[in-house]
Amino acid sequence: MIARPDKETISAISTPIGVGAMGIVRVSGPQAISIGSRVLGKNLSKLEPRKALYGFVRDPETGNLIDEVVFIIYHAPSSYTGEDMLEIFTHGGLVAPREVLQVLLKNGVRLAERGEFARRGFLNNKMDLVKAQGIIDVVDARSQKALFTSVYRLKGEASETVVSLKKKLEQILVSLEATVDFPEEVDEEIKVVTELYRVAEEMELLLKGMETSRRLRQGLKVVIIGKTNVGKSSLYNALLQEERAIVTSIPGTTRDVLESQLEYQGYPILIYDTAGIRATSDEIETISISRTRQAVKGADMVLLVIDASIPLEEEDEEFFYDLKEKGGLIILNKIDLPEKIDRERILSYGFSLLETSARMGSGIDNILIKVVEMAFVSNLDLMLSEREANYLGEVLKHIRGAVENISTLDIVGHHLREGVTELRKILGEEPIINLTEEIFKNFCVGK
Amino acid sequence: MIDYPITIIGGGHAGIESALTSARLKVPTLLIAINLDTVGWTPCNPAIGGPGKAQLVKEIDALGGEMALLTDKTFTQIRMLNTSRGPAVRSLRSQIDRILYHREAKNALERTPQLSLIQGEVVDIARVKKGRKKPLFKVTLRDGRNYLTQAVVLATGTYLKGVGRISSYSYPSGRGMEPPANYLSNSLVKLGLKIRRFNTGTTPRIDGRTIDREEMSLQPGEAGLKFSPLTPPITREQLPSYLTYTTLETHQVVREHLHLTASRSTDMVKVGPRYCPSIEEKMVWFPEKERHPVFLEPEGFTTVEHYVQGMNISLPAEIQLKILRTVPGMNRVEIIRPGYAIDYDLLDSLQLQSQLMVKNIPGLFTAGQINGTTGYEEAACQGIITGINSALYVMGEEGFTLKRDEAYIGVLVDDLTTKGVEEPYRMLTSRVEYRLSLRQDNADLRLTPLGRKLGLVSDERYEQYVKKVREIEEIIAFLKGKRKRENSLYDYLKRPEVSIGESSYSPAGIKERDILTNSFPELRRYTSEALEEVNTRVKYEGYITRENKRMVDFREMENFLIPDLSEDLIIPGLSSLGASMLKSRKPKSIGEFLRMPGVSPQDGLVLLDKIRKVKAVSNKRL
Ligand SMILES: Nc1nc2c(ncn2[C@@H]2O[C@H](COP(=O)(O)OP(=O)(O)OP(=O)(O)O)[C@@H](O)[C@H]2O)c(=O)[nH]1
Ligand SMILES: [Mg+2]
Repeated sequence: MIARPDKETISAISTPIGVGAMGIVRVSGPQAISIGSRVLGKNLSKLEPRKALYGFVRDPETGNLIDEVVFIIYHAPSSYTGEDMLEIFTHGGLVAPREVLQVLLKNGVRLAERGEFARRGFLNNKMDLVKAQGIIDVVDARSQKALFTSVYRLKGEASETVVSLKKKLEQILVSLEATVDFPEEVDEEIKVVTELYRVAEEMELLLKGMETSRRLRQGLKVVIIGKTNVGKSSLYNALLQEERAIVTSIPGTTRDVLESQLEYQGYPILIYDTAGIRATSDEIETISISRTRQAVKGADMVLLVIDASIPLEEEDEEFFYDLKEKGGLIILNKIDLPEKIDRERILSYGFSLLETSARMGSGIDNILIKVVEMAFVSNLDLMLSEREANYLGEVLKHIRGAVENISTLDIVGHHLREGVTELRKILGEEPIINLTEEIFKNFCVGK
Repeated sequence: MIDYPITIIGGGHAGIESALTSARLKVPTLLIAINLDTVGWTPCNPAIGGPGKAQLVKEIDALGGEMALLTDKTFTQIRMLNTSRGPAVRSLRSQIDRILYHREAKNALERTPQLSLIQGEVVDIARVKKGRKKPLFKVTLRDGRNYLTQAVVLATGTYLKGVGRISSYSYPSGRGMEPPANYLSNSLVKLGLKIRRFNTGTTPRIDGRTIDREEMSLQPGEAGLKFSPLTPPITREQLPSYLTYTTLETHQVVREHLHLTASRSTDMVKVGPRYCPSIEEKMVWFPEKERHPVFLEPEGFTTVEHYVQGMNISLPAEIQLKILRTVPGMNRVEIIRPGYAIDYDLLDSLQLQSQLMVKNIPGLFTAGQINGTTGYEEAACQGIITGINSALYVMGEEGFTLKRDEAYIGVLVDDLTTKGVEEPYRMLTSRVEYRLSLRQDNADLRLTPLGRKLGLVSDERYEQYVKKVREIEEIIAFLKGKRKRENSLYDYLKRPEVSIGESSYSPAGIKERDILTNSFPELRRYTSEALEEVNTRVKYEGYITRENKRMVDFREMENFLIPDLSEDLIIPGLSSLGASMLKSRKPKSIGEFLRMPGVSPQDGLVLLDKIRKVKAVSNKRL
């Protein structure tokens, strides 16, 4: 007989994203302890349950540190879901909980469905219905309520895009199913293959839109860089309209990376001030520099500040590499002072230039306008929730899976069914397509 | 005095399997057929198998049924469809010799101990109680004979009040030109059963001497194929079929006479199978199609009659001839029997529980076309289920059900009994959620142990099964133990260009195949079935694991049984649709409840909660 493996292990962020000083990531299921052991780098089965423990989440593959966390182990059946569980308390904000979740997903957990923790708890006799329903706002997208919320959230072009993608995938699926169920009368194999390639391409485009959507959810990461004393911290303060960073005329004032959130016309932006970089042997500064490099690595774009009142130096030009790689703008600061900079030389690299006087607060709005234009430019105004983005990610995986197995129609069929199901979930539709109905509607299969 | 514990009405494919099965379980069984000379008849297309259906045939075989063996003995042609499309959709399809099939079927019935055959028309089934726990049925024949029985299996096919139609001419008819069973239908209404009506149709049969084969393309059979592992290798010569296409002229003639079609010129019910449209319907539903395929299929080794697949029709006979003659290769064709439409009574399958027993008439089972399906294979597989369950019922044992994650049969029965049918139901691979796991090639691995436990699987079949399982284990151990490049041979086999044997499935477009039996001759001592199974298991491992995970969730819901809740119980929080489904259809489990139309997941939770509370109360009482 076919082996019956255990239930899947699920995980989700249990705090609203970006709210609060702490994020909670929950994991539940038979592998909760073993996967938890992997990402926390210690054998959790040996540790005391129901006790707050301290640790580090790392990506087991790369060894990279993700977050410093507190976690609690629960053994079945004495947990909220009645299964083995792990609760990981991460740093708050937009990034940490999400990255911890990503590492878990990479290591074998599945993203929990809406209300799945509560449902499991309910099924395992852990709570009564009233309580469960309080927790399960929407158990399944089939319900009226979910239909409304998803339709409400997915508006305009975004929903059109998803709807049309779903239609195309469904059509391909129906052609495929008609072909395998009625091979003597229908042969749509070539159509299935060519259409699939087309949709795969479209999907990759949609992905770019998803990047926009990620930025909308998590904030665009903009990192201010430049050599010392050019006015980075002054610009940081000007952007935030608040004296957040220390400003002095001493080069090397800023030592650590500062992070702040701002919103410009509804677009969330995370802005980072960094330590200026110069050739040095100072130990503190060496650490500062490595932090700056780290921040640049995680940036969506950089603002390279250059002091316009002095000639361009090699130290300025060293940042051109970062600018090239991350994209962004050159900010010519201190334009209230007499200009000594060689603009031609900068322009010859093909960078965009904006002028400001951080001290006077002039030119600041232009920076924000330009940043938003560059980062959020997309004809897809996708306002996806984390969950929807994850579903779309799944859809993409299935489309890729289908393309990779293109010559084996039963596997292609499997991926298409799953892909269509994910899309239907986003749209709040009945998850299972009635294939029989569609085949008969679309194909003359009269033998 | 009970005459026979089990009585089966109908000698079609459902009746045959049901009778053989209950008799093999050693329960004396009576089979009543309206005409014993047409037992196991194939009144429509003389074909068995095809996608969805082949899987059913293999499952019937794995459970110890007869259809695969009968087909292997009598096919005139066999082919594998979907060969390059993956093992999960590969399907055998055969043409059979109609006369031979009937003879073999009748012979199988006659050879079986505990099974009696009689000919006669059943006119009445009545419940007789006489203070017994289990009710008895009195089955009365038109000639006055009657039989007292504990369980009745209705497998009457299209006989119930059948009306054959060629244009506006209509005549009472069972299959072919046989008499229908007209009284029985009324008797079923008296028993309180809900009756519905469907239609179907068939094509003309033509004289094979009047077709020009060179104008058509030849479709030959393939050597080396068979349905049952029990069948010894087959070497007999096969008959080809032929493919041609309708023309615009064909369509023109059909269109001119559309008003004469049976459904338009009479009051015939218009609930027919959409996957088998008549040529008239094709003109209406797919007007843009310029041609439709027409297959000419031989009806047997010893006859010139051919079936005209794709030409299902109920226009007047002379128009049928005119239409056929517009098709290339058929310009001088002669019709032997015209095509016709037929409408017939059937039962609403939602009245059944998952063992195909009528919910509120214990002991009454129904199988086959009477439940709204079409197709010999669909009928036969229900026969196995009623055969097993009627026997278990008589023996006072718990019933036998196959689930959606175990077999195509499980999907079919579940569809019938929880979703119901709106048109004649045909099996399709696309109806199956766990298609990658439920394949024709592993039907024996999935079901033979179950059949053995029931007592249906012979020693010979079981030994074959055990051998296959052992070989599979050995091959896997061998693959895991050998190294190739940096991997084990097992992992190496996962590459698309590598396959285990010469005939193994490999994706199209691969030029340089690496075949393991060439480089590892040790593997050659295993049967190709075992090698194939390993090939598929290794290559599909990730997918099958995934499906298995889904099955766990599915099972969880299936295993939450719903106890008998009192009739007038009001469950707060249940949607009105959910409440009405619960009341009218009496689902057995939460899983079944959730599959019913209109039932929401919340309904599932509400009901679970209720069940739990009811249980808690009754536990306290204990
Ligand atoms: N005239 C003028 N002075 C400015 C302007 N922006 C900054 N300054 C001055 O330049 C000096 C350095 O400013 P900071 O903002 O601390 O420069 P920084 O780049 O953060 O320096 P480090 O943190 O040391 O790398 C301060 O004395 C500022 O007042 C400007 O737009 N015009
Ligand atoms: Mg500074």
